Amino acid sequence: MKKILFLLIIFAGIMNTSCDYKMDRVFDESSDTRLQQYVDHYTNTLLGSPNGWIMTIYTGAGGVYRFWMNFSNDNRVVMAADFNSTLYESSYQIKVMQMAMLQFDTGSYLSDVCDPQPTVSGGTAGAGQISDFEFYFMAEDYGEILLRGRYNRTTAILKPATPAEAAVALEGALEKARQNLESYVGAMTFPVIEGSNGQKIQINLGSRSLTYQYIEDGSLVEGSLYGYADIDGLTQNYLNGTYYCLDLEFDGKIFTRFEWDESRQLYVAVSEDGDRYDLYDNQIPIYELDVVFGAKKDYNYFHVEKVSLAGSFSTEFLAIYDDINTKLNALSSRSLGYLDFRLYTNNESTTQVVNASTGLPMPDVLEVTFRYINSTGTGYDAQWYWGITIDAQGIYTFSNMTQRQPDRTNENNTKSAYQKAFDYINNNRFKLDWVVNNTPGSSASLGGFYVVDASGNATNSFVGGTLGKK
Amino acid sequence: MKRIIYYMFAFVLSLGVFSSCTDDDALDTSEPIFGLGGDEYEMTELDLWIQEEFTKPYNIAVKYRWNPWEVDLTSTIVPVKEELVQPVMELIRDVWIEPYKSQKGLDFIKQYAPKNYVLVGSPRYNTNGTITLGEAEGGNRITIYRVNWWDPTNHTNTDYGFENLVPRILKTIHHEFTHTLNQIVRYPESFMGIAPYESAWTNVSDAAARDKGYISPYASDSPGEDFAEMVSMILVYGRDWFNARVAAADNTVKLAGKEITARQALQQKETIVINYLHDVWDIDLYTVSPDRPGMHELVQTALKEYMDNI
Repeated sequence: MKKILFLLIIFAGIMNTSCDYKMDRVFDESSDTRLQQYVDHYTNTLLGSPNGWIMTIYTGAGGVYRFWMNFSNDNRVVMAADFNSTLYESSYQIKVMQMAMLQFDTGSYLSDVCDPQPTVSGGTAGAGQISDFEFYFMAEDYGEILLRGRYNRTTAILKPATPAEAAVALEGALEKARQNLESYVGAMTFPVIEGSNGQKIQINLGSRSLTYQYIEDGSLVEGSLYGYADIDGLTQNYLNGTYYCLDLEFDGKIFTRFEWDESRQLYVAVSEDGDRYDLYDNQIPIYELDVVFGAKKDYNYFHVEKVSLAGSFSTEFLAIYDDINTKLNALSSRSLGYLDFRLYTNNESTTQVVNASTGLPMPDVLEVTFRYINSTGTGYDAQWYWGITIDAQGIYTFSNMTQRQPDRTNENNTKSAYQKAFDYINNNRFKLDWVVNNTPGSSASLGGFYVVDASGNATNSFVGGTLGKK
Repeated sequence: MKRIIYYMFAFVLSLGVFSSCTDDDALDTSEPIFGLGGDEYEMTELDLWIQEEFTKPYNIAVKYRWNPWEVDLTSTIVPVKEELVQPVMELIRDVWIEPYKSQKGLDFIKQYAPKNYVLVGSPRYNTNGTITLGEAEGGNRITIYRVNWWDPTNHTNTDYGFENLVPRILKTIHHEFTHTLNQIVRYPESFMGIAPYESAWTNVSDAAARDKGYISPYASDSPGEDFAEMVSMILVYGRDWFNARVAAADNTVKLAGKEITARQALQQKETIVINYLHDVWDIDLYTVSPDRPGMHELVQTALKEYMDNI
């Protein structure tokens, strides 16, 4: 009984004190006041950059888009984009929902990048470039504002523009920098930087991202990183802006930018510690040809055609090619269309290739196709096979030459014209390697067989052509 | 004894209740509530134009500023470009509102017209591979997608592989408004039994739809869409276009043992549409008396004028 009374008294005490209406605020201001303060703060910040802002968006599709924009206090913003220099005015609003938010709430260049129709800005149907036009304010640091997209969570950075940046941006520098970068890198076939141990990494500076590839443990590693050419320190050709990228790791260093060397007219990769590596055109890929070329690989033949490869023949094989053509001409006005050199393992082929002298199937085969054109313009194929042996140095020897269809006139009637090519293949040893493409207007990857000397070193004599798969 | 304890208990409880919830403070209204009354904008010329042309006369709101909660939170869609809002809304005013107003008067528009127009820049991509061009919700809101395709300088623009946007948008508006009318008074039961409906209209080609007695592939989806397609396409593409389609449809349609031709199916539907509009809404689809032009003639004349003036 006493216990119950005691509990009742305690209970009454609690009831009496539980509804104390005194309110202590955690914050000094009410939530409404604080929300308004955020809006005012961000409005003043955006309006406070006298030369506008440079906005850099890192899209979900892996590209960088850049804009110059200037906000005014009537919810209006004027912008230029790196894909369209014409100034465009649209609306913006600073809202505070769960977080303070910058919303570009009518159509603009920003929403063009987001457009789900690939016809507008590329990307995939229904997703576009996976970008944003509504952003949460995440952080401010030394005047820069970090934004995060609401829908696609893209990262964007607003940086106050300098007077010089604003001046050139208004003249279309963002777009020009991108275009000039594209034409500069477009002229290089295999741009590389070389590490201290001689290892090379191929780096293609793209206008929105860079792609790289290198060989690690014998296999090809490829990737891409965000990257863009800036408009800092612009000159008339707009190319000496720094190219920025996100952390490219190579040679034990981290590269974050490529500086334009005006005097030497090239880009220099600069590491975080200040190491400088020239970006130059390697002319051929950085990896061995046999990584991608051979039986059952990405490419299994090369196509040797004088018309499309002018300037990329060796003197020796050009003479052989011309000799075949001349002899075909003497044989009822035929001409040489092209030659294909194809590598395959015998079990790939529907036709069992059999060694003519032993009668046994040949395991690895070089197939050479001579396509000749007759006087009426019709093409015919004549084909011969060789067995392949590859020694420890990677030197190829071709043996056991076999005619594909000994009973056919295609081959028998023209056989004599190919004799110099047969001799070239039968009497030499070869190494597989890339061929520098010297054909004007062509950027095709070329590869072929180089004749080696007695000590196994490649000479200048080679037969090579455009890589393909058949 | 127990009773005394109960009384004590009740007494103590009442003490607690009475004393705990006294509040003499008035609600503090000295600070405005943030965001009350919606977003605030500086009125632009476009806002003033919308106010004069739509909000004041018809009590219609035209929402062109982005608000994801108005459209769709789960699709990639983008806001409309401001310079395209006025030409699109002029089209809607001249070729949709005006013809109805001319036949039915201002009050009809005020009473039945959707009160909210939402304009969106891009189409909405759907999971079944289609794109959405227009939506109506409960007769209150019409959403028009893909407005950024509008090219004011080139109305025969087919760059995107689609036909001109003018009839497309207009058809959407008339289509959605037909739904609104149907929601108030349903179309006759007899309309539903004329031809069989498809389970996946997106797989139906235009010619296949025609040969099954439909005015468009989308019409084969359901009777409701069929009815809205009939009204909107006759109004926007014209009676000549419809008659040519009827003439081309000579396949036989079988439904519940009955056999009619696709041509008859289309003609029967047309008759039901004419009667429904006349009997329920006192709207003439085609001109009946010379002093009261039919909706078809009004729309076609207004459309021609609009196209001639751009």
